[in-house]
Amino acid sequence: MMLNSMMRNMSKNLNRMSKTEEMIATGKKFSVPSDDPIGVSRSLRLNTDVANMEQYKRNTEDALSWMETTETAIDSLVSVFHRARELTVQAASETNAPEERETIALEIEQLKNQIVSIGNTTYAGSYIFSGFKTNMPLMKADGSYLVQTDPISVPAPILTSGEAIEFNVGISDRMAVNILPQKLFGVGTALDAPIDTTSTIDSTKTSQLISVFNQLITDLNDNSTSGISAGLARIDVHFANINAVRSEIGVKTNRLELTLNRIGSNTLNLKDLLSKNEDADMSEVIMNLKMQESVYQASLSGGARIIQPTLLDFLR
Amino acid sequence: MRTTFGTFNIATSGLFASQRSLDIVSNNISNASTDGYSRQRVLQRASLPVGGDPRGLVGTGVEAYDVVQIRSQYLDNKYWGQMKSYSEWKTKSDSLGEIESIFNEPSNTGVRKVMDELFAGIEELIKKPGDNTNRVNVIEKAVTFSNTINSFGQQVVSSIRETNFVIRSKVQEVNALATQIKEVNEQIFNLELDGHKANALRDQRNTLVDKLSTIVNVSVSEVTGDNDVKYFNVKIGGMTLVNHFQVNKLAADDSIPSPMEKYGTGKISNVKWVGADGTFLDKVKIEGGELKGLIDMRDGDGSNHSYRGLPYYLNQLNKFSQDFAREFNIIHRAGRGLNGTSGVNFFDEPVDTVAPANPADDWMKITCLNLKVNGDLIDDPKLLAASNANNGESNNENAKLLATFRNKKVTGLNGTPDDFIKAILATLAVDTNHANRMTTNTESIVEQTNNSRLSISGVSLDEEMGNMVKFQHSYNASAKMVTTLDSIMDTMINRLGLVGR
Repeated sequence: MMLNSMMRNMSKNLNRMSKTEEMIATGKKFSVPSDDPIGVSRSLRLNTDVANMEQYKRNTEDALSWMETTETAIDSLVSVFHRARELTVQAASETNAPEERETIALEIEQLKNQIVSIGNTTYAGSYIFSGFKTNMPLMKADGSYLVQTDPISVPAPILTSGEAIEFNVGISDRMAVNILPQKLFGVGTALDAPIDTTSTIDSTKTSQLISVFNQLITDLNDNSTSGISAGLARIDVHFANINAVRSEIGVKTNRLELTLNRIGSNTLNLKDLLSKNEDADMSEVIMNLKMQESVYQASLSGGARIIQPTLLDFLR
Repeated sequence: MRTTFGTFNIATSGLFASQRSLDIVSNNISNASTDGYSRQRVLQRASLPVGGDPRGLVGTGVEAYDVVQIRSQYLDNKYWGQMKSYSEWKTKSDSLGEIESIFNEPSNTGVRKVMDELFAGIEELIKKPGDNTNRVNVIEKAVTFSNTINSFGQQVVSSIRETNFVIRSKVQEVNALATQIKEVNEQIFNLELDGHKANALRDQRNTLVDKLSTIVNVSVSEVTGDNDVKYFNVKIGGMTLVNHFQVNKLAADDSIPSPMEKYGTGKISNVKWVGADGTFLDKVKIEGGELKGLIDMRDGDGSNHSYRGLPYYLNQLNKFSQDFAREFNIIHRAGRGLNGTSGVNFFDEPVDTVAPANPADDWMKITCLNLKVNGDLIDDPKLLAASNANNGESNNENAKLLATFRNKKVTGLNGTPDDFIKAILATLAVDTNHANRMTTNTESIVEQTNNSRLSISGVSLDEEMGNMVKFQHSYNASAKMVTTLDSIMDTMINRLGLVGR
């Protein structure tokens, strides 16, 4: 009977030791849910949260690089405008001969082409200014809008001002990464009216910006000083608009960078919590193991003492 | 007048009694480590004196009149009663441990991980829905997700099948033990007709009941009938299993259909009493032991306060699969694929063929075993509905809705899909924890009773050694008595009466 309880206690000691040993080997406090029901369910949530944060981080980074591409495109648009303004100011001077104005018209034509190619900028194979139709270029070579969808089964393909591509950058926190062409290039042929940034685009529409340039080229060729002066005013209006869009992107980029920082510190916090929740405190575990080891050894030597002497040893 | 040789008889009776006691000591020592052996004692008493002597009564020595075993019927009954709880909880704890290993959490292969990956895939899809790689990725991740759920379901189903098989073999074991107890009963009865205890056979019978009590709850009684004849009865839940020479057998009845069979568990057996002609009678009232543990695990679906066994987890997985697939499909059907198609299911909904067919209820046919991604989608990833209108490849409106599904409260799931999985795991963890604790508790109770049993019935070598020395000395003393008498006789017969020669 004594032997029985000794064996049982000994196997209990061994069980405890193997549990502690497992903690050391895995570095975790628990290996099956029943070891710590609450801990395991918290660990599940935290793991998911960490995975989410990592996904949001990837999303934010992708949004940032999309923004950077947009910013670069708008930067080149700005330099196009600088040059166009310079040329127009030069052309507006009455001292220019008609031939000189025609030369300037040629250069403005080139600048217009550059605007078209900026409108068709791509990021990782996506046309960034084409709304949802990222697999299609925005403009034809002459600067009129080219709206199509794939497949071209829809009767009248249109590009609405609602086609914002949003990325998830946090739980219920979304960020539109694309700048819609309406905002940047305007819709229609009206030259002096305020820029139409909201109308729906279809393939019959032209960009207001391009129209301004077209009119300017015509005026230059026609040697119309008043037209050129009006063109200069129009360029300034569009220039201001582009700068407004540019600062909007700056604000968004700032916000994304802040989000990235916040995600970083959130991830750190979550990982810290996760580690507190499921990682075993090594020094404590090793202390425990040592203690259990000595208890086990003590029980072994105690056991040896229980078993040894019997009356048998003292009989002849 | 005393007889001349009467004293010899007294001394010899002492010799015999000591010898008999030594025999028993020797038998006890030999069986010191035999399972179920209870130590035995020789009962002896002073034999009756011969009357009629006016100088007082002189005894006629000693007689060893019986050999009895030292055993406490009370502790035996207590042990059998406690054993049933221990073996019940041990069985449950083992089985629940198995479910824990099926769910395999916390790990990097559990359902949490595959769900994380599915939704990470959808997040990537949001960023570029026109990219075929992203579409294929989401579909493949969903295939992994459904395969994981399928394999959980299959493992739970095969656990049910195996548990049922074990129940069947346990029933056979009970029958075998009952038959053996009956046979031992016969032998004991025959041997004890002359009034002596058949100790070895009684030990054997107790060992059989020990075994029986681990399988099922038993109540044991030994009734003394007419002419001091002992009748030994074993009952399960008030019904007689063994009554002296008669055995009632149990059998597994497969004829009652079970709701689990449609998942491929095979026939589910009910444990019933069986008549001599092989007809099934009442259900056996099983209240403890391995059988109780096994049946609870096999049949317990958690409804009406029944135990949360394997069917409970299977049903929870089914519920998860159904509601997850249903809600996911509702969102998916509302969206449009890259080629403008809408109304496509993401997860397969088996068609309800039973008339009147009701396509709206097709989702109810989804189980954790048949949950799978719609085959059309695998063939043509363009059908994956990421957009809500046919206006360009980067329309990700529906993909965004799919991504929010993860944090959506689904009525059927009492919260988000994650909450549901966590709730299943928490239930499992608490139940397993409880079963483990009950196992440890009942084990120590059983152990304690067993120890008390051993302290009474077990052979203590020290005691036997002491007895051995005692009986050896008493034998020696009796022998010395004979020698002394011998020399008295020698004097009396050979030396006396020489005067006249």
